[in-house]
Order: sequence, then structure tokens, then C-alpha cells
Amino acid sequence: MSIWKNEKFWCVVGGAVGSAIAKKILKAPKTREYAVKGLAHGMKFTADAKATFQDMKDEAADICNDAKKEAGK
Amino acid sequence: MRTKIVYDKPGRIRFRAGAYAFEPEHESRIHKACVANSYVKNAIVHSENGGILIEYESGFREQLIEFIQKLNPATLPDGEPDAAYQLQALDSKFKNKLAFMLARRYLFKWFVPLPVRTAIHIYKGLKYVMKGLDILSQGKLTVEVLDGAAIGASILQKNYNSAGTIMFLLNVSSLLEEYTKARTRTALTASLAVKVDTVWIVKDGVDVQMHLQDVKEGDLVRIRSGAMIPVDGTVIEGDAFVNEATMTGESRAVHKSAGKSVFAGTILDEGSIVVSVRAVNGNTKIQKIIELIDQSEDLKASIQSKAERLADGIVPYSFLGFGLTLLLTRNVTKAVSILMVDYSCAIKLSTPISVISALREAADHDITVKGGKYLEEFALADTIIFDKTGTLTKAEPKLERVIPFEGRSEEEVLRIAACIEEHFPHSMARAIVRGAFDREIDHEEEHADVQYIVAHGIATTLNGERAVIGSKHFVIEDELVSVGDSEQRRIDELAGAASVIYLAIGGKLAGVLCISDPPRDEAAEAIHMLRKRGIKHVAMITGDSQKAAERTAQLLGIDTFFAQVLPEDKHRYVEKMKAEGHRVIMVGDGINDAPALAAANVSVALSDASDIARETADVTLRSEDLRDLAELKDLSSQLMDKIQANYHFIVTFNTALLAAGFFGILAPSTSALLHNLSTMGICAKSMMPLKQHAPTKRN
Repeated sequence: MSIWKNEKFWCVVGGAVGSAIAKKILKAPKTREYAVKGLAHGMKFTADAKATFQDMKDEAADICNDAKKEAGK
Repeated sequence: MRTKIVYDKPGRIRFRAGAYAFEPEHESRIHKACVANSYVKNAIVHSENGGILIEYESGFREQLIEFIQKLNPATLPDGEPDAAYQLQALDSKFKNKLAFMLARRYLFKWFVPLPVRTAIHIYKGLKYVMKGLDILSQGKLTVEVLDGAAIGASILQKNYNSAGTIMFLLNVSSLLEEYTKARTRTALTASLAVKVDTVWIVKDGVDVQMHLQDVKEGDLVRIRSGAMIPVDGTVIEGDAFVNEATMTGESRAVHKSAGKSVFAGTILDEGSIVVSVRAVNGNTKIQKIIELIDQSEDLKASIQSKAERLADGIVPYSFLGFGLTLLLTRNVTKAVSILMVDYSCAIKLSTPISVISALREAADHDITVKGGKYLEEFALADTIIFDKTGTLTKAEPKLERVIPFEGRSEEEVLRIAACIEEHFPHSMARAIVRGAFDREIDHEEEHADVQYIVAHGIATTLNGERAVIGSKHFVIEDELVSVGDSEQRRIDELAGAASVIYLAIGGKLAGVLCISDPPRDEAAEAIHMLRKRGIKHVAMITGDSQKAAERTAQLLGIDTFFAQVLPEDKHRYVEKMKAEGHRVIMVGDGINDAPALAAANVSVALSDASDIARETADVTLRSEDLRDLAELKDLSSQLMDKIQANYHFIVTFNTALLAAGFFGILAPSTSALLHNLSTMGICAKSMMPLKQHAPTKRN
């Protein structure tokens, strides 16, 4: 049987080509740029979420404080 | 700093500068700068949203706003954050972490597609399984093996949600444990670090007293017998035996002479040295103690060690239960629910959390306990022995009278006595120095190097003659100074029930100093409170005369007293009581009490005790109030009750879950959820304060 008709052979070739392309993509400056951008967005999102959560906690604490004062009158 | 006011009510204002306005490391600086203003009562700073909440005295609003506007976090001086801020930061970090964990769990559950979720559960679950296998390969069968088995079994049964729930709850439990430990460590550090020490610096050949915080590298510090070495450094002159047990764990005294290194936190047993400062390291001792509390197996309450052993001991039975259930029911689901429920992790987690929370609570009450073991001993004790002078009696004994002999004047006797005594940290010595100060008597250093004869007195050379000061036993019997009948009559007549300190120069009695030592105001009440809390026997040991001891015992309602006890014999009385089957608490303050403190089941030193007593004692009180002993007795008894109650709850609840699993009433995932929720609940309950009321600060 000709090697060209062997399915496994093409799988190996496909895998090797796929790895080479994947390596190229991973090392490409554009990929790095997108990854950095993505990470930065993620970090900003986390920081913003933390700030929003802290704002909410602060406001809740203020409302609770007012309620306590009111009840104590 | 550019901020906007988001909340403004009288006495409370909240500024917000927004995220990125300052870095997390600036929080403590801003907090410190805010509370430094006299009108600021409290400040809470969050870098996440740039928030600053300030509670202040009314009438200072405008001033405060101006202060915040001018505040520049980047230019604020750096420094160690104070304990209040550290505790606040810890609380806030814990709450945020918990909220983050909850949010992540539910977002993950709602938005991540099932195949991805399954893959992640398997990946994370395998870590637990690998850890369990690793421990199993070492021949151990611990809680980690059980956790790994429970998670592994859930994954094998394709019950990924159960596996996820177990892992999540295990994470929450370990977060709780970590938080309690960190909080306790911070509270203990704060409680131990407050004492401001003074040291003697040699400057141009003269000894000058200075605060430890003002000591710089290269300064020469003189250290004498019985004192704790406050710095790391090199010996420049003198010879001494230093007990380095706090550093090396070995209590044999090490000889130190010129050129040798000495370390902060070690105790100078005998001799006198001058040390060139290499590093002022006031925290060495504190860190040591905290590490000990944290790590030492010896310091763990036996109930805690027992709980930990029990927890691991139960694990094989869980596996046995699993096997039996599988054999009897042929139902894997029912068998797995046995693995989901076990007694061990709740017991293993809740007991140390309870102990460590009690240690923290004690610290909040101004009581430092150096290990869970001592809380347990305190709870079990039925006998308390007090040292009299400086412990049961006022912390500030008063010089009542000076009786001069040999044609000397009162002023001369007091001047010499104060000059010799001022180097030593004992309440009697302080009374003499204060007596001279009150009478405006200046005492310049006239004597040669002083030698401290532990618990007896002090010897030195004054104008070429040997001068000794101390107890009657020391001066009359050891130093063979003779006292004539007429002199003795005069002393008996004028001293009354006061304690008498003898001063002899050149082998002749130069004078005596009468020091009245009235009991502390709260002593009788403290003893009454202790009796009500299960102390059956109250005793007192003193080197004082029979007359003085009897009077104090009568005033305070003490059952037994031992008078005229030689310092080296004090511990014999403690050992005698222990041999009679009593569990003994010893409370003392002086260098001479150290052996007795070490001999007791649990020992307590007061805040103004000598360094060596504080070092030896298992418990130190910071408030100088004997009623804190009753407070500690309460706390320790409540801790034991809580551990017992937790234990009963854990056994009852989990047995019910096991039965429900065995009979197929509960699915394994429900069992796992209920089991882990109950574990978390019991851990959270263990963190709750034992005493309902806030610590009362007494003046």
C-alpha cells in the first residue's frame, strides 16, 4: 500500500503542520499583543469589579450605620 | 488627593478617590496619617475604590476635608502599620476572598458549559486524589486520604457536582482556618509588643537610662543579672552567664565574655556585661513566642492533640464503613455516602480554631497565653498560689520609714540604698528609688559594679567598703552582719507589719528601710471570684515575716500561707501541693519566683514582673488587675465546654447523616453538602467569642 494512501501518515503530517502553524501563531507579535490586551482587560475587569463591590459594601455599611443611629434615637 | 464626598453625616464622612487612586501598600500610611489627627476617632481605608471612611469629633469637618485634600499618599512616610489597621485589613481581605470564592463558584456553575465544567472538576479533583495517594504511599491514613477518596469516588461515579461541592467547601474551610490563625497572630503580636523597655546606655563612662526605641547601632548597653538582653550585639567588657533557652531551646547557661555575641530575648542569669549594639531587635522574642504558640506540639492543648489524633484515627473506620456498606447493600451510591461523611475533618478543624480563638480573645482581654495547653491547665486547676510582694500586694509598695544606725542620717541611708537599688527591676527596689525621688534626694553613682545575688539582695563596693542591701536572711545570716538587741527592738517597734530591707556597709548595719506593702485594691475580690469559679484552695508564699504574711492572709481570706520562705525553697511548696494531687496555678512577679513558676502546672506573671518571670510564666497579664485571673478562668472553662459541645454535635449530626446515607434516605451529594456545611458552620461557631461582653478596660 502506498504511503500516500495511509491515513495515519497524513495524521502525522497534519499534526506536524498543525504544530508548526500553532508555534508560529503563538510566537507571532500579533498573538502576543492580543494576549496582553486580553490580560489587561481581564485585570481591569477584576479591579473594576473589586471597586464596584467595595462601593456596594461601603454604601451598605453607611445605610446600616444610619439605621442603627435611627434606632438608637 | 482628589476625592469626592459620598457620605456626610455629623461625625462620619466618607471620601472616595476611585480605583487606582492609591496602591494597597499606601493604605496603612493613609490610615496612620488620618488617626494621627487628634480629632479622628477611627479611619478605614480601601485601595480597591480609593475609599476613606473617617469617624471624627464634631466641629472638625472643615479641618478634616482640608486635610484629605492636601493628603498625598506617595509622600507619606513609610512605617510599620499598627495592629488595628492590620486586623481591619485582615478582616476585609477575608470577606473579599470569601465573596470572590462564592461569586466564582456560582458564575462557574451558571455560565460555564457542562463539558468544560466537567473537565475542570476532573482536573482539580485529580489533585486531591494525587495528594491522598501520595500520603497513602507513605503508609499514612489521614483526613487528606479520605478527602481524596471521597472526591475520587464522586468523579468515578460521574457525580461531578458532588466533587465540585466537596472541593469548594474544603477551600472555604481552609480559608476560615487561615484567617483565624492570621488574626490571632496579629492580635498576639500587638499584645506582646506594647511594653516600652528602658535600657542602661554607657555614655562617656556614665550609665544613662534610655528608651529601647532610642537605642542605635553601635551604642553600648549595660546588662546586669536577671535582665533580658534587649538587643543583638557583641560583648565589649564583662563576664556573664546567659540563658539562651529562648533561642536554642537549651536552658544551660552559656558563658559570655568580650568578643562573644549575645542575642535579643535571651536572659542574663549572672554577671554584668557591656554590649555593643549590632541590631535592635525588640521583636525577636515576640516572634519566637508566636512561632512557639503556632507550631510547638508541646504547647498544644492535650485536648487539641487528642482531637487531631482522633480525627486521623477515625479515617480507617470510614473506609471500613464504606467496605461493609458495599458488601451488605451491594450499592455503590450508599457506600460512597459513607465516604462523604466523616467525623474527622470537623473535629480536626474546629478544635484548633476554638483554641486559637480563645488565645486571641485572651489577648483582647490583655492576657497573653503562650499556648493552648495552658488554657486547658487553667481550666482544670483547683489551687492557686500567690507570691505576696508585688503580686497580691500593691504594685507600688511605698517607702514608709528609714531607720538609720551608726550615726548616719536618714537621707544618707536612703541615698545609698536608692543608688544601689536603681539598677534592678523589682517592686521593692522601685519603692526605695521612688522614696528617694519623692524626698528630692539626688543619688549619683558612687559605688563600683553591683552584684545581684538572686532573690537575696545586692552587694557592691562603696568607698572601698563592702555594701550589701537585702532581706534579713541575706544581710544578717549570709553576710554575718550583727544586729544588737537595742537595734532589733527599735526595728520591731518602728517597722510594725511593714517589710524591712537591711543595708549594711563595712559589715555594720547602716540602716533599715521599712516598706509598707498594702494589698492591691482588687485582690480580695479577685480571690472571691476565683473561688466562685472552682478554685478550692488559695495559698500565699512570701519571704516576709510571719506577722506581715498573717495580716495579708487575714485581709484577703487566704486559706494557707507560708512565711519567711527562702527564695530557693518557693518551688518546693508548689511541688508539695502538686504531690498532694492539686493542679496548681502559681502567680508571681520577681526573679526569685521563676523556679516556682516553672514548677507549677500553669504560671502567671503580672505586667510589671521582672523579665525572667515574664519569660518563665505561661501566662502574662498586661492590665495589672488580678481580676483578670478570674476572667481567664472563665475563658478557659468556657473553651473546654465549647470543645466538648462541638464534639457532641459533630458526632450526633454526622452519625445521623451516615445512617441516612446507609438507608438510602440521602443521596451522596446531599450528604456531602450537609456534612461540609455543618463543618463550616462549626468552624464559624468556633471563631465566635467565648465571652459575650466586650473586654472591659479598667484603669
